[in-house]
Amino acid sequence: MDILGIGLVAHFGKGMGALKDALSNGVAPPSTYRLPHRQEISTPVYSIPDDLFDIPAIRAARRANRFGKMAMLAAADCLESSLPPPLDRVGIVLATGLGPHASNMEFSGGLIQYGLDQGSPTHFSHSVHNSAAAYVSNMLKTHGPATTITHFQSAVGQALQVAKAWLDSGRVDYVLLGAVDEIGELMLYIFHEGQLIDKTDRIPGEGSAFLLLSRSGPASSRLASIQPMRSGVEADLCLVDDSSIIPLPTPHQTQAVATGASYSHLWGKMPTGYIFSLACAALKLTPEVQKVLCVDKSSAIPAMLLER
Amino acid sequence: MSERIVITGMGCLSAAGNDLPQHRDSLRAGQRACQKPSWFTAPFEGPVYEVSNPAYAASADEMRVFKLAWKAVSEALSQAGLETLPTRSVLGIFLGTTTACQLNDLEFQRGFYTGGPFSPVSPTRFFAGNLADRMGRRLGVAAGPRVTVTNACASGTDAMGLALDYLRSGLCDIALAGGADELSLVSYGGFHSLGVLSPEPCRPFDKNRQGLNLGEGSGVLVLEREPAARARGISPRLFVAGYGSASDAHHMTAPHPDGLGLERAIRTALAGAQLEERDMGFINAHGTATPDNDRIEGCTLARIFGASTPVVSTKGYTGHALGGVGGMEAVFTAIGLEEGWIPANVGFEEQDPDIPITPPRQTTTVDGKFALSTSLAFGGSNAALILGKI
Repeated sequence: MDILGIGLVAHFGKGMGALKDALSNGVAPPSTYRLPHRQEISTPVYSIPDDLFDIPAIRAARRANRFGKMAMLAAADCLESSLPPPLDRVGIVLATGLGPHASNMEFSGGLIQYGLDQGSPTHFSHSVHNSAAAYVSNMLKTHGPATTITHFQSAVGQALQVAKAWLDSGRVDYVLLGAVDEIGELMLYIFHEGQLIDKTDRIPGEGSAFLLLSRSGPASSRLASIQPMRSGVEADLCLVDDSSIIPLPTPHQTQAVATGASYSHLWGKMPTGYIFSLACAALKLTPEVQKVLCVDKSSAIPAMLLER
Repeated sequence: MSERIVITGMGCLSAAGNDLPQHRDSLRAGQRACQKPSWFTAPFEGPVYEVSNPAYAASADEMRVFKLAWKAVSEALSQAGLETLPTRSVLGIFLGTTTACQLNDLEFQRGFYTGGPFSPVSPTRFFAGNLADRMGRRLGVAAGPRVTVTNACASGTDAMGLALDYLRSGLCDIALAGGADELSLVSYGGFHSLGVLSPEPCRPFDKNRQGLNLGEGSGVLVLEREPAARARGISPRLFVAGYGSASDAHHMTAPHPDGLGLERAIRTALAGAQLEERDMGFINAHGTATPDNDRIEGCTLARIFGASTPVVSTKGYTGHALGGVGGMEAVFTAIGLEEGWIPANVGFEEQDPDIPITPPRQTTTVDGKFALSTSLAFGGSNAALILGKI
């Protein structure tokens, strides 16, 4: 597949320029998130600055939750970074680890606090995992297929495979492949108290990134090509993504652990952080660096090779 | 044309039955199985379709929704003769759901919000419970795609569509595809908050329909490329002819007023199957019994297929099982296509003058080699699956 465009938003800002700047200069310190219902607990987080949401397209979606807004920001940025594809041939594949859990917990919290018959319809309708894909589709007016894939570790890898299947089958000619995960109170509490994750040197993060993908075409029209690593191929550079948050057994555990640069500290720990490492890999491609391997440290996602 | 993707096994669990024979009997007899919720009370009315067998209760290490899914998967694999998977075959698992991917445990959350203690059992079970992934581990399958689709009420149908594409692309050799969902107090309160929960047994397409009833359960198909299935000695009788998916790009909860996304999904499925509208023997509609869904879906189906093509909603037998219902309805569509009948559209009594279709009031004989199953979802997702008779 070819990558035609990349858009993203995270703690360090919006767009590939912001990522490039973060790679060179590092990022601002994390903010502190004190859990509203558990004031005794605070944790550093890499959250997205609120002012990034203050653009017309996001203001127009006034009911959208943070989960949806992050996806909209990144998707719009992605299309701005490339030649616009014919929208009637675009499909959306969205990967998420935890989905819009903040909306889900807000809705549940309302039921607990006010009663089963007093739930917020807005919170409920935004608690479904495909709400972000729906907002992106509505913003861009794409009428093709839109699907959301959920997995705590390998959602991005699965989404890449879905995109390939759609392109190979001719179901669409372009795939807007995105990933999004958000910081939320209850999940942070679970992470803090529940002993569910390896908390060593970890700062939770949030963000979204989108890749515009197509079937392989002329090299001049793409940012990079992307495919699973093939045996016998040597990369010029290896990036190791260390974004994963939940160390569970995975189907790809036999993959050898690679060594290489890791930039996951720039966006923080999140289930779908691997997509930011793919964006970094695309940035690292130069005439001297023709092939960059992107390896998931948790081995949940097969290694992907990006080539000029 | 590429190799046909055939159905070699099916499994189903819902309030209407524990297995395929029980579903066949319930649907033929027009039996409803809705009741007041047995394990919770609410300050409003709304019958549900529960799977009452206590064997499917959540346990310390498994969510209820997984147990519901496992039942259908076991039945489907058994019917396909795949208790043991063939060596060197890659099994893909494609399951749609909503509740398996949400931590919908109000007791756990109550402890959190009130500053009280909480048990880690619920989140631990949740984090280990990704439906397709867990299914793969339960089956002891080391490799192959494990895709959990979370497209709200279209999840199950979209999971089958993905399976179709993966099989055609050679990304797997055998696919388990469908969906599962469990009744949840959160969903119950949620649909009430939207004002779409019916206080009485649902009445799909009826003039006096008042909304949907929630249900739970699972429906799963085993899909394979035809030559591989025949090489194992299977003589398949049905195949997946086409699939389409499209977005309304309109509203988070309301369908497009002209059903444009649904029409696009159906026309994509028809084109992919190289079929005409007149080829459909019948349609198993989404038919939730909400005023908007049934009016828009009914009008769209009539516009595409004409008012005389038989259309039935089976929500009166199972309730709306959200991410699981696409799998269930694919199973019902397959049974109807193979045996040449569709069940009564229970709950339908009075024609709605705004809906130009008339679902059957009794079990009805149908003819034709193809049938369509549709799903519509929050977020404007629409999915259409066409099954064919060999």
